[in-house]
This record gives sequence, C-alpha cells and structure tokens, in this order.
Amino acid sequence: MRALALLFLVGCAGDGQIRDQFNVEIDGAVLPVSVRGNADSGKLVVFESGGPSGPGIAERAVDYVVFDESLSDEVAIVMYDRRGTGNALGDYRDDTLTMDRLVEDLRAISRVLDERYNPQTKILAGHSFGALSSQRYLMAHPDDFDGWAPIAPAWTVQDQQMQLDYRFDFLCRVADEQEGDAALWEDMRSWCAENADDPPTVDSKDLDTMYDFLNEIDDRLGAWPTMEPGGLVGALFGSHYNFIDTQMRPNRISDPVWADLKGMDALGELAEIDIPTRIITGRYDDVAPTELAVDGLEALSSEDAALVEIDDAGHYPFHIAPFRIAKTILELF
Amino acid sequence: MDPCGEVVGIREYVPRGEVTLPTAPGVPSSMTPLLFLSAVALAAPPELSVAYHGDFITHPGASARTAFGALEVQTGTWWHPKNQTVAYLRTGPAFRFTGPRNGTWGGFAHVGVLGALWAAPTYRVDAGDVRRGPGGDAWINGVAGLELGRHTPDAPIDGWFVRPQMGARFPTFHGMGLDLAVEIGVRFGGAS
Repeated sequence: MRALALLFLVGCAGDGQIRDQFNVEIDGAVLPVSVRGNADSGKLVVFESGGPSGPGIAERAVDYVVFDESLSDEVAIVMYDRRGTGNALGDYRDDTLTMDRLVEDLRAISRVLDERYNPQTKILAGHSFGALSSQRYLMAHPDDFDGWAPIAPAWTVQDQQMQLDYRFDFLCRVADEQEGDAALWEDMRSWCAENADDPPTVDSKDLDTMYDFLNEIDDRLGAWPTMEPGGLVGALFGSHYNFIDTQMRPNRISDPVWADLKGMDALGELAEIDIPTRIITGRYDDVAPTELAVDGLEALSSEDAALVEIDDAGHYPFHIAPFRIAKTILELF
Repeated sequence: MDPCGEVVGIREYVPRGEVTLPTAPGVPSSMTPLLFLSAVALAAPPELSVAYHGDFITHPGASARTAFGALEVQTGTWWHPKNQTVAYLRTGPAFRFTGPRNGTWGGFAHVGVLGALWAAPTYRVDAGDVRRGPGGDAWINGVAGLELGRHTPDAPIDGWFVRPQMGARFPTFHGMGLDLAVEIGVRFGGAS
C-alpha cells in the first residue's frame, strides 16, 4: 500500500516545497540536477555523492528517503549526476575525466543554482569520495560555500598504504571493543597483537587475513542500506528519472579519476579549509574509519569544526541516523 | 498446429477468398513468402491502431500505428513529468496469430528515431556565463515486444491489444539506455 501511495505522491510537493529538475550543460556534458525541499528558505545543501561512480539522484530515491524528508522543511537539497554516471548525457572523452573537470562541473552547477534560486547560504556535503571531491572544490573555490559536511570521508583511498594503516587501527580497535562472538574477536585480537609492531604493508603476503577480518566486521556491524520496496517502486515508475539507465551504465569514471588523484595528500591539504565544518563518521566504517575522521578534524584550519560519530553506523550512515545527520548539517546554517 | 484448428497464423492478414499463394511457373520457392507478403500488403486495407503508451507504465503517452501486411509504421509520444516529452517514429515487422475464442497473440520488432520535443530547463555554462539553451536529445532506438489481445468480430473495433515492450536507445552518455513500456489500445480495419 505504501508503495502504491508513493507511486502517486512522487512528483507532488506540499506548500513551500519544490521538486525541481533541470540540466546543466558544461564542456560537452549535460548533467541532470534535482532540487527538493524549501527553496524559499534561501538555504541550499548541495550534495556530492560517493563513488566517484555513485549516481546521485538515483540514490536519493532509495537510500536517502528519510534523510531527505527530515531536511526538506528547512532547506532545499540539491543532488546531481556527475558526468559518466546516472542520467547524465552529452559527449565526452575518458581523458577529460579528471578531478579538475569534476570540480568545474560542480562550479557550473553552483552558478546555475545562484541564478535560479539566489540562495543566501549554501552548504556543501559529500559522502565518501564525495568528501574528497568536495574538499577539492573548496580548495579551488574557497568562497563559494558557507559550510562543509564531509560524511564517511574517504580521504585516504587514493593512497593504499595509508588506507591499510587506518584500517589496521580500526580493526584492532573494534576487536578490543567487542564482547560477543568471543572466538572471532579473540582471533582478531591475537592477530592484532602479533602484528602490532609490524603492521601489514601493501607488499604483505597475509593481507587476505586482514581483509577477511574487515569483512567480518562489516557483515556484523556496518549495516548497509537496504532497498525499501516503496522507494524502489517510486524510483522505477514515478520519479523524474530513468532509474534503469542509471543501473545500465558501466563504470568508466572511477579509473581515470583515481589515477588523477594518485599521490594527493588529502589529509595535509585539509589545512586549506577554514569554513565551518561538521565531519560525520560511522563508528564501524571500515572504508573511512573514525580514526581517519579524527585526524581530519585536527588537520582543518577552521575554528568552527566538530566531529559527530554515529554509534551504530558503518560506511552508510544515512539510513541508520537520518535525523542526527540532518540536525548536524542544519547546525552549519 | 492447434488441435482445435483455429490457429490461422499469417493468414490473419489475408482477405479470405481474395489472395492465394502464387504458383506461377519459374518462381523460386524461396521467393514465395515475399510475393505472399507483397500480395497481402496490396490487397488489404491498412490496419489502424490507437493506444495509450505508458513509458515505465506511468509516464503517459499515446501512439498510433498502421500496418501494411506484416510491416508496421508507428508514431507516438510520452510525457516524463519534469524531465522531457518524447516523440518517436518507428517501423518494423510484426506478426499476430488468432487462437481459440478469438484470442490473439503475437510480437513485433521496430527500429526508429526518438527525439525530445520538450526537456527540463537546460542551462549552458560557458566561461562562467550562464545561458538558457535548448534541452533534449535525439536517439536511434530499437523496440521489441509481445502482443496479447482479442479479435472482436461483432464490435465496431476490430480488436483490442496489450503490448508490453522493451526499447533500447542509442547513443546515451555511456552506450545504451532502456525503456520499458506498455501500450494498451484498439485496432480498426485491416484484414482479419
């Protein structure tokens, strides 16, 4: 019944609410942009999705439903599809897919948002890779946004050794905290003790053991989002969006973008960020561990910066604590 | 062969008593089907169909189709709210069988072109300058589907049908896009 109601209600909007969609054409690409919520408030939250192949607008219809609704009375939320993802159209060559290109795409979208809505305040939020791309954006255009909310920030994924170091610390911390399933956690604790003085490196031969342990943690503690039938039906049949096209697209964006980011010192460059910032991290996020978020907080130059840890969340905290995340973002306005 | 003797296959398009298979001497047997279809196309008045065309079922539209024997030509449009309004023209072969109690079933395969008559507002950003520009896109598409329905000999219409179908659009940003759709309509005229 809920699915049927969603089917007919999607596309309708209450008083003061908009469900807007437009395209931005920039350097050969046509990027769909979806804006929902209270645009009259003069407050926009622009969302950078993960990936970089994460389809922004499609995620909104499935993973972010409650989060979206919990913010939409106060602000308008902007999601878009990067070139190479979702329903984005146009012509491009793979060698144009650099981080600078993605940054300038967002710059174009931001200009259009200024022209179309004339917002008083804009906050930039980003999940996972989106935290990395939004950081690059703020470094290139430091005056465009008034606040920043990196969520499950993947600041080390371009550096495999640094990523291993943080994941090792994460694994051993989580193993120490656990009481149930004693044999598994005890195995992890023993393995951590054996490797404490000589943590795994990218050349280690026993990395499989570490990844097996990380997978066990992810399975038990890092709850992934589930597709609710209502959201899926609404996305398929009632959205302003071709959901199937999104799923059909091969991922041609990740490799060139990751290659472009190799060697980037994201943590070190956080010192260039001085706008109000709220870092949001899941306690059981093995991709972007809390340990990394803590170091990120210390690296920021901003005097108004804070870290919010979601107790039960992994790398996808939106379905676990949508209201907590919404409240944290609203603090930035 | 249907044991009830009701399956008439391609003969559905043949005005009874007017067309017979060519038997002229010197005609290779491999040519017989082509001559047969040509004869049907010339002898039968064109069939016309009108239908609701629902892209993803719920994006409403309309279609009109005519058939010259086994060859169909179809045009239509659908409205994807806040995204685009699409028009298309396509053609291709189709077949329909009539089974027991006037039930019909068949299939079709079309190729054609799609174009966006209207698209969501599109802003072109060039060197920091923001301008409204034309939106929309154009594609080549191929569509294949099934037909289920009923022949209605005693009604003003020749029959009704439901056509679930899957279309593929080229090029999209990364290759191919898919459109699920269904047509629900009625058929007039033509040979039955």
